[in-house]
Amino acid sequence: MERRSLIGPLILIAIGALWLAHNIWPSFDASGLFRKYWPFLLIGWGVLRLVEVLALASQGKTLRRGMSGGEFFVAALVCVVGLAMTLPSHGPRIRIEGSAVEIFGEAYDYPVDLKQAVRPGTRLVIDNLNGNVRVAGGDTAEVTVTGRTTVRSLDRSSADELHSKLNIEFAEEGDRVTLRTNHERVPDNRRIATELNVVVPRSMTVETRGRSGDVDVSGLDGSVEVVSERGDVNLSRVGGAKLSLNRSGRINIADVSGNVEIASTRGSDLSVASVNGEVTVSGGFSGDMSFSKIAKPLRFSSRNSEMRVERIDGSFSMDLGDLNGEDVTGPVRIHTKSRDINLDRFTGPLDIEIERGDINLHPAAPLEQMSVRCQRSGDIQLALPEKARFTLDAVAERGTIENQAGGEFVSEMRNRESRLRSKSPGGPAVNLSTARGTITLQQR
Amino acid sequence: MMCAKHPEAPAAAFCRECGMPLCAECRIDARGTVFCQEHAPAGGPDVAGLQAAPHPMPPRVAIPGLAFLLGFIPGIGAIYNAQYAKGLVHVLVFGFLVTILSSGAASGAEPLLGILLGAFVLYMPFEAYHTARRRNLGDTVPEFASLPPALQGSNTTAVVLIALGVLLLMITMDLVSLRIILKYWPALLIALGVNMLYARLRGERAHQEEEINQ
Amino acid sequence: MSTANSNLIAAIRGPVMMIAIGTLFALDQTMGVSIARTWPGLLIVLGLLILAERSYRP
Repeated sequence: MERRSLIGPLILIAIGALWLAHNIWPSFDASGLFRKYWPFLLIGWGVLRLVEVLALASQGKTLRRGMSGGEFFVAALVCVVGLAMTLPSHGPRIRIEGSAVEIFGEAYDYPVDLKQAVRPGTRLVIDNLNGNVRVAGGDTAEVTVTGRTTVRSLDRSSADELHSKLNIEFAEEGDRVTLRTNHERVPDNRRIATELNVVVPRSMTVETRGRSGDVDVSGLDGSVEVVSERGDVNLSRVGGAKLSLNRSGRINIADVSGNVEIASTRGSDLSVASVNGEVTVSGGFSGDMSFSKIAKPLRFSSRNSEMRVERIDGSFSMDLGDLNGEDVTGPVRIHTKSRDINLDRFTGPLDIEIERGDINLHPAAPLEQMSVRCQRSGDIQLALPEKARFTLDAVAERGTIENQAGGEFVSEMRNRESRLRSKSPGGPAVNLSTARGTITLQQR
Repeated sequence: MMCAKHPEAPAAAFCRECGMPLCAECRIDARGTVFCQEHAPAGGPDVAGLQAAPHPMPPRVAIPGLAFLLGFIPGIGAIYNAQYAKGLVHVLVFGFLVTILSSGAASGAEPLLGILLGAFVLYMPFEAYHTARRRNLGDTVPEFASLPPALQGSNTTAVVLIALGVLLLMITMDLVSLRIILKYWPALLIALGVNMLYARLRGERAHQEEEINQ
Repeated sequence: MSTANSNLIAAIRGPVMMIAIGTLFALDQTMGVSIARTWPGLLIVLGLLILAERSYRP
């Protein structure tokens, strides 16, 4: 007869003892003990089982392979209950990396209150490694800073010591004033964050530098420059914007009188609205991008896309699969890999080159030069304005061409290739081609 | 073919569980078929009289329809069939696919991953259904019977686990990015091909030697 | 003897895995090394155990 494992009864005894201790001495915190040390319960259990197995083996008894279902269940239960008890005390864990203090420590707050008179035309640099920064322009001649620094620490005195190292200060050099929170002075500086509310003279140019935290700037005639590793960026009513971001969250930019320049290595959502200057965007964005009311050219470039639009009166938006434009002015140039493209009421020359995707075009009159090419596959649909004059050359290398618009065309079929051409030249050239797919001409 | 334990004795049968060749001495007759010592069902060999008797109808241990339904929840179908390790593997595979899809790091492979995910979600209930049916018929269903034999009977599982562990550890420790791995994964196909080529060449040589010996 | 070794390793697989899981969670709690970053280590341990078991198998 094989002796059954001792683990079950031992665990029962341990639970009973803890519960009893709690009942006898109410101050005895059994659940706290469990919360803190439950992983060691698993280790101890494993060690006991190991010893048991080794003992059985030395006696030459037959060994049972693996764990029983009951054991598996109890172990899983310990993990789930333990995790459930520990996680709330951590709070939501946003960052995976980090030290024990960051997770276990408590937050100690210290107020920030600073003032600095500045000459007009000065550039303000806000150097804050961690924490949100909010800047607002106002009718004032000085920079006013309020906010608070949060230090995570195990006790007040060590928090005080860390905070005393920081010494938030203004530094003036030439025509720039730097507001430094000096987080770099603490080696383990992820536990420190400073939230800043800054009011500056409206004419100022502002630059923020940081690692994590949201940046929010509004009401400035001067331009804004943001350098950040991660966080959201919100800019409204500013003179210009230049963003260099690594892993950005949501970027919202609205009402800019000058140029907007955005570079982000790994961004998610981006929305730019009402810009009087040029907009230049580079980098990868995995979320939705939307541009509306851009008075000067929009340029977008990423690893496998390149686009340019002369002016956007309506909107121009894209995500990883689609690109939609409405009321845009050319020359429009779209070179990308795979996206479905929908352009509505656009004017000016058009140049589209994609690998695959369906293209749907509704140009506004008068028609201008158009060159559309699907390199691999995709359907092209062109809705022509009334009485449009143009010289068509449409080729579907493998596919068909449907002409629902009428007009004087020559149709050729060779092997699997279809071709449709205008009988006589006149008007701007419209070249449509797809390697595989259907080309449809419609009359609007 | 010789017995796996006694190289001098000819094999008389094969274990129905692991396929190990067994001599007359090693074979254990149970449940109307043959097992090796390791996989013999509890209760030992059948009494001689019982073996010839027709199979009694085994008790119904699992409801295939319920297994099918539970199978749509990753891992639960397998756990219903008392296959805990398999359940864990199902959860891990599901989680891994969803993680890649939602991290946006698939760089264009989203459709492929999406199809894989769909296929996997459909695979789980059917797998649970068939396992439940086989359990009802009294078969013992080894947990990883659905894996190809190349993965079952060799060191491949262990090596794959270790390689996967090292790879994932490098990802979670930020030593390598998922993007790079997704870029170079076809190297895995090449490695698999080389492995197969090696096995076939070796098999051929063994075959030739056998012929020479004869 | 080799079969016995193989069986022994198969039998300690459960306990060793349990110790490994417990250790990772303990690291997570006391040292702040998140389990989210260390879990693939479990796969490595499991793989090594299987490899050891098979290397003893006749």
